[in-house]
Parts: sequence; structure tokens; C-alpha cells
Amino acid sequence: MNKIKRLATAALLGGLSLLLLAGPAAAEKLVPKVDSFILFVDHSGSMNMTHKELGQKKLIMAKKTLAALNKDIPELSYQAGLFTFAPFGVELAMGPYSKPKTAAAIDGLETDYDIFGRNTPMGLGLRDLDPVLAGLGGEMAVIMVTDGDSNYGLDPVAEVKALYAKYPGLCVHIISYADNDRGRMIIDEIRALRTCTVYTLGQDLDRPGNMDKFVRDVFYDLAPEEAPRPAAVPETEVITFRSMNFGFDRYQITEEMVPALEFALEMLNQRPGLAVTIEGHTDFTGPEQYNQGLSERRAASVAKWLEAHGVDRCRMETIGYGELNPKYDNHTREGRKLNRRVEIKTKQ
Amino acid sequence: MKSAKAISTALLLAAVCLCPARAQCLDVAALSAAPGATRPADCQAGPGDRFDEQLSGMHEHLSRFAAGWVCMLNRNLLTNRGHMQISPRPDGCYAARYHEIDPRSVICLVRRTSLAKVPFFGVIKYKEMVFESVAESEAASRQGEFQVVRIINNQETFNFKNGSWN
Repeated sequence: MNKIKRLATAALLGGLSLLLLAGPAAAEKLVPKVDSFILFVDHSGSMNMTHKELGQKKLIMAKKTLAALNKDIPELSYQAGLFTFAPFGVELAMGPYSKPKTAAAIDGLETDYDIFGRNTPMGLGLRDLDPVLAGLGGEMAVIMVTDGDSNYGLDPVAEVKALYAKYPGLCVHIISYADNDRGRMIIDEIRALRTCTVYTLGQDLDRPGNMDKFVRDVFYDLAPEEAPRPAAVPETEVITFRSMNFGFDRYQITEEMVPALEFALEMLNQRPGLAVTIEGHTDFTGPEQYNQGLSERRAASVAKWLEAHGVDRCRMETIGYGELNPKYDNHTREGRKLNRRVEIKTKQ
Repeated sequence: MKSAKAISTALLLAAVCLCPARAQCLDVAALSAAPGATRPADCQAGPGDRFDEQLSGMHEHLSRFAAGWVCMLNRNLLTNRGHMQISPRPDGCYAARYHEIDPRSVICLVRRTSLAKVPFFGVIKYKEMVFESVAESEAASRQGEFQVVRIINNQETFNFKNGSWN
């Protein structure tokens, strides 16, 4: 009996020890999304001006944002650096990511400079970044902090495009302090180049949860062991031709539709392996059979135009859905207008 | 104060116009505090500057239009948050699903055309997120935690004609 008691006690103590050693539930394991990242700060005269809506100097706000960003970035195995443009400068050379070194580099960004002579050659700055990127490889993130107002030198959008062509693993993210039309337009043009771009207004990062989301979106993901990792979220692409106003009972292509078709043509030419479906849709007014035929003829017109401009017919499948595949509410005037459309969808 | 500012702006602009080399250009955006200040011609960004004032003005116009357009899209989506689609699953659970466009994902692009009646062409890009929640009952699935299960990258084309986008 005593032996049994001793064995039971030992087993109990052993079990308790195991429980204690296991500690709290396993912490989340963070996996870096990128191998390296560059904080790329616009150091131009316009950044040293007061933001028209926010009433503070843009660069001062940018520094505070970068300091908060640095605090939030997990200390994973990144290579990191901090550079400026306008003019191009190395505030922290590329090396293993160090929170304190990055904090010091951010703190050291000069904000007390004369705006006289400080142009914003964003395109030149991006080109100057090329040799830095060439030394990295793998998945790279450039986090550009800018007001977007490039007013001198090379086309910044063309420069980002060239970098993307050269570095397939690169993604340029943007923290925006744009306060004029031109800056916002240039930023939108850069954002449009790749769907990976994470974009935020600088001031939005002050709101609860937004900085965490930005860091999560740019820098890391959760490891599979922590929880069943969902498969990468599938993405599809759709071009909807709102500008193709066919007119009642019409399906012929008119001159006014050409800009939209040229836009689609450009996409198809840039991605020669891409197959697409061209879908015609109508609202639910009128006979179903009539709507079916009309939507088929409209989809066929689009395909015919694209084929006449060099797109292989085999890449395009045309489908007329008529009124049978509405995406919007046919019981509202707005919804019926939205349902009357031709779309090009990429095939998975 | 205002007149001092106007005088200093005028002096700086004069200095810019007198200086021949583009490298001497000021960051004229930095002078934008002076109402009506315009960029001297030789301070335009590099050859073929396509980001001119007119185009950037049209971009702003399209951006304002896009904000309303996306609201209208969200309002009229058949399976929006207010009209979720509930489907039974083979495992006996229920999946609640809805579509929603993220207004923060909106990007606007504007191009000039060669058409007299349609001087500008625009594209509104946005991400349409498909959210899903799975639970043991229909009611629970509506109330559950929704995850993004698909992203549709949309691009909608518009013509600028007779003063409006359509």
C-alpha cells in the first residue's frame, strides 16, 4: 500500500512539474514576410513645410510616425536601413535590424533645414536606391514616407516600375503626407503598379490598431504551428467597363469606348500568358432571352476589338450572362445601372 | 505680415525666373503658402512632365467622384453586410458570407485621351473583400468572427465627358 501511495504521489508530482514547465499557452510565432526593409524618407523642402490640413510640419510628423513604427516592428531576422531622398543620403546603412540603431537614425533626421534649394527629385532618389537593392535580394520592402510632390527630374512612377521589373521580390509601401493634388496623384500612380503595396495616410497610423495592422501587413505573418494557417487568400482581377455606354439595344464599339479598350489591351499585352473571360451582363428589365442575346453580342464585340488589336482569340472566352448573374440590387435604379456592364475577368 | 510674405515670395520667384539652370530651381511646392503662386516654366519637373496641374486637378476630381461611387457600390451589392448569404456546409455547419469594398483601397488613375468629346479617361481601382464566418447555426454564423476568404481586385473605367465622370 505504501509503495502504491509513493508511486501515486510521484506520478502526481511529476505531472504537476510537467504542467509548470510547460508554462502559459504557446506564444504566437512570427514569421518575417520580407528578408530586408528600407525606410525611405522624403527629405525635401516641401516635407519641411506645414501640412495644409493637419497644421504640423510634415517631417516632424513623419519622424514621430517612424519612431512609433520602429517600436512596433518585431525583432526578426531582417536586414534594414534608413535612407533619405531629396537629397539621397544614408542615415543608417544596411545591416541586421537593430531597434535602437534605427531609433537613433530616425531621431537624427534633420528637420531644421532651409527649404531654399531643396527640390523633390523623387525619381532620382529611387534610382539612387537601385545599388542598395542590388546588394539585398530576396523579398524586400521599401517603406516610402513622402508627400508625393515630386517636381524635378526623372518620372518617379517610371523609376518604381523599373525597380519592379528588376526586383520581382520588391514591394514599395507608402506612408503619405500628401497635401496637394499632384502629390496624391503621384502616390496613387505608384500604388497602382503592384497590388502588394500597403498604403496609409501618416496621420491614420496614430489611430488605435492601425499601426499594428500596418506592421502586420508589411513585416510579418503568423507561423503555421500557432494555428491552422489558412491558405493564401485567393485573388481575382476584374476590369469593369463603366465607360462603355452601349446605348439601348446596341452592341457596336464606338470611338468613346476605345480608351477603356486600350487600357484592357495594355494589361493583356503586359501579361501575355493571361487568359480571361469577357462577360456581358444586363439588368432584369426586358425579356430574359433578349437580355441573354444582347449581353453575348456585347461581350463578343469587346473580344473582336481586342483580337483585331493583336490579342490571341484563344486567350479570351466570351460569356453572355444576360440578367442571370446580377451583382447588384436590380430593385434600385442605381443597382440596375450597375448591373448593365461588360467585365473582363482573369482566369485562375 | 501678409505683405512681407508676399514680397519675399515675389523676390524668391524672381530669383528662380532669372536663374537659367534647372538645378537652381526651388522647391516651388514649398512656396505654396503664397496664394496664386505658380511654378515658373523652367522649374517644371523633367522632360515630359506628365504630372501637370491640370491632370492632377482631374485626379482630385476623380478621387472625389470615386468616394461616392464606392459608397454606392457597397450600398447596392447584393450580398453586402446587410444582406449576407447563408449557406449550409457538408459538415452541418453554416457559412455566412458578404462582400464589402474597402474605401481605403481606392486608387485613381487619370489619362488624357485624343478624343475631343472625352478629354480624360479614368480608372478607379479598389479591393472588394469577401468575408466569411462559419458556425453551427445560421444565427451564430451571422454573429461570428469573419475572415477574408477572397479578394477581388477591381478596376472600373470611366470617361470624363460633359463635365462629369461616366
